[in-house]
Amino acid sequence: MTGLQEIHYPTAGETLFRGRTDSGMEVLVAPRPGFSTAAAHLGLRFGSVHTRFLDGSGKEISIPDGSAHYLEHKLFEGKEEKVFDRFGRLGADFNGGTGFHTTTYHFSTSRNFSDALEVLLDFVLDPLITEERVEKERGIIEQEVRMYEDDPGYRSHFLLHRALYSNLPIRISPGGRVSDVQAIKATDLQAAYDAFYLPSALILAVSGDVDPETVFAQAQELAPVREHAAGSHLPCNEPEAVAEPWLEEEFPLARPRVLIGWRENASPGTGEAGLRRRLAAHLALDMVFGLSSPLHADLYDRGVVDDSFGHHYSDGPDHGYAAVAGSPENPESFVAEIKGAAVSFLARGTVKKDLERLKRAALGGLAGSLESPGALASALLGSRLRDEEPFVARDLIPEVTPEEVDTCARELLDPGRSAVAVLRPS
Amino acid sequence: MPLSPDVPETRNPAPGVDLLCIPTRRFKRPGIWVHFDHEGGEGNAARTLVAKVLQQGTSALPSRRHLAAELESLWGGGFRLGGRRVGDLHRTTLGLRWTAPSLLPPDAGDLTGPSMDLGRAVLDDPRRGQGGEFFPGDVVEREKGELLREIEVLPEDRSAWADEIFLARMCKGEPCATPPWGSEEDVQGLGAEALEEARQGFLASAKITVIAVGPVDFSALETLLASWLGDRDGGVDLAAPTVPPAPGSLREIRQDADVDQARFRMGFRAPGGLAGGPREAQALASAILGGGSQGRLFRIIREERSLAYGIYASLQPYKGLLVVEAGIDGSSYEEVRDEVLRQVENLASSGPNEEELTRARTRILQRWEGLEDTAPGLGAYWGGERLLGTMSSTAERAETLNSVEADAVAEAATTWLPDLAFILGPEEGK
Repeated sequence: MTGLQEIHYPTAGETLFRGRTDSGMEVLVAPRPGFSTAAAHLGLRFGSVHTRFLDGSGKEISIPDGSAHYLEHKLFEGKEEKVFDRFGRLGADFNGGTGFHTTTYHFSTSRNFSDALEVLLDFVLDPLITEERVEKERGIIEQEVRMYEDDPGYRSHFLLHRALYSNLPIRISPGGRVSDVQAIKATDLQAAYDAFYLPSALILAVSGDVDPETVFAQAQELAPVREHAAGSHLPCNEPEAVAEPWLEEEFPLARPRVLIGWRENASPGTGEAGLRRRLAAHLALDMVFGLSSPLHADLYDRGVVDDSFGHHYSDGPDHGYAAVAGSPENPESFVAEIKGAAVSFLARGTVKKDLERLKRAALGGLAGSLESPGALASALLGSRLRDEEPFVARDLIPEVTPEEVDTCARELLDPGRSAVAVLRPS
Repeated sequence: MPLSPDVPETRNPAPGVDLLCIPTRRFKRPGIWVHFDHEGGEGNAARTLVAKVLQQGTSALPSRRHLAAELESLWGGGFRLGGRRVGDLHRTTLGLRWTAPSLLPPDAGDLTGPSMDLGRAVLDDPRRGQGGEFFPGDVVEREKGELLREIEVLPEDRSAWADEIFLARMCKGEPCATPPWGSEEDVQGLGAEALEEARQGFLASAKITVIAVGPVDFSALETLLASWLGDRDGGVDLAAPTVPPAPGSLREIRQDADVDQARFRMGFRAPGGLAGGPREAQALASAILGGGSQGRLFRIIREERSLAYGIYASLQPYKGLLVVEAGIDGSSYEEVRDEVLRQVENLASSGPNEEELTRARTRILQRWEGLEDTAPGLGAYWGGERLLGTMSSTAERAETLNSVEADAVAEAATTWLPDLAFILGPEEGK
């Protein structure tokens, strides 16, 4: 084989082919013999938070919030023909997604995989961005942003981000506000594109009944070498203290929505250390607030939480936080109870047999999450965008110790770094 | 991979119970779905509430915490028990997933039996009250409160709220107009006795379809189902869906709400979309009108006029309905309504062009090909075929689909009769 390395992951039951094209694009192919669909996910480390950056020549550039998302939309316009039409003729399903730190493009198809891969690489690597084209998309994106703004879950999520952080751009949703969308110009999008959409910054993950060599050869051919320098993200200074310990907003609701967040001092980081920390954080939150925890059972039996109650851990290169959410009648007593439960857990610590059970569940869930070619390609891209080695979680989960979970919980659920977001019925 | 000509083997382990066996071995997470079907309507509330109560524990695992811990012990077993509307039917589904033994340590064993035993225990051996009551009183009251809260907060999900109001108004008097959870009054009036009756109804009177997908020991499953349900008398006969006549002219309803984006729904009666009709021509016509980004509505209303982020049409073969849905600016209502009507009329009078027909065909064929790649996809396809009484393989349907001509698609669109245009949006002028 040329340019591709074959790697076996026996515990995960997977084989992966990895390589890098001459232009620097990383390529990962996980064959799925006998499957009907094949999927390709292409992504880069440029997302909605990257509104200030240095371009390839070192010049500082500022673009409006929502620009990365707008750019994603514009790429689907295609240069000479709409991407909708090109994929449509092939019968492929396709979409894109803009996150805080990444943008991704993907398709899945049961036929014409090579043709569809050509479309994907072509529209991402060779767009045409003009004022006229940018203007045409504005109304559509405004409707998308309005749709999100009507969603109380979405609203409360970003209210929590504004409570936790004073400056970080994750305070604003990836789509931006309607006013941001109205301010974006073609020059903003072109500047961002030129700085970050380089073949050397792209990662391509493929899964399905495909020949890895053929996929790699196609990527090699279609991703040209570009000589100009890549841009670089400018960091954002964020104070250590939460921005607002308690932040409220009104919204047309039947019941209040409450989110309690505990902010970490730093991002869990990337690579294996970051993954390990992330796994410990998820297990710690499951230990405290999961359905099988005694604290959850007690809160449920006493009517403090209901089925709207949930918890999650969120992180990126610039942040990490734990959050719980609920729709209680009385936000104040809900917050006091939840914070009290967290303190109780910290005093009691992790029970080994409970942790072993949760680790079993995590391993089973992990196997299931990698079933379809689309899910597998997405997971591969996600892990590489976080600079993690694929399939490593399968080996790391059994190694997580009660002490590690307790340490993580103590750092994660520090009462001094918590903030509350309340969406109250208007 | 070519479409499969195989039709799953159907076994009858008990009266009124069909077991569909789909032995695809490549799935990492096999699954079993047990569907309990009843006529929709007044029993919806009791069935929905008892499904919640049953998930609060069994005699051996007497709380939802114990149940959750058991699922974790089963290597993250998936468990779901809940009801939904399928046309005029109310379908309650027990869904079980587990990880295939090849991906687990050798001592984990095959989880099919333990998963199925857990599902059976939840339905068959619930936690009873300490004084012998059907269910603990506090659990019933708490879950009732939980269901009432879910009803109360439905308007927070603008799209789901619009769907419910739209169906309630368009199909008033038909079973599908009742939400899967009934009404607030229905729920308030429920007691332990009504819930026990609903629980027994799953086992005794429902039409039961069991779909098992993946590396499953089907003979062991058949034996288990026979021992569990062998004594039942066969269950109810479910009426075939019928389509009431459409009104003489399009009805229009506007409901004001404190929302940023208006939700648009437009319903057509589609008698030709039922199982006995020319369903592949209907499916093509629906895809050409509003199937994803290739649909006419998406291309014209979103791409050409920028009036919506998305607009789609879907055919409901269990009910004979075609529903168009979109999120729009409230001031665009008339423009969107008129364009939908124009496109339906145009499709009926002129039919699709060759490219539209080819794309719609490709899209449907690719969707069927993709079904083979996930256990839930395969299970849902055959669950639908069983419900419609057609049991056609995707290969067989593809043959029909490929033979449908443009005039048959136009003919399908002529059978769509406009019934109701609905908008849930901000007060006019706001």
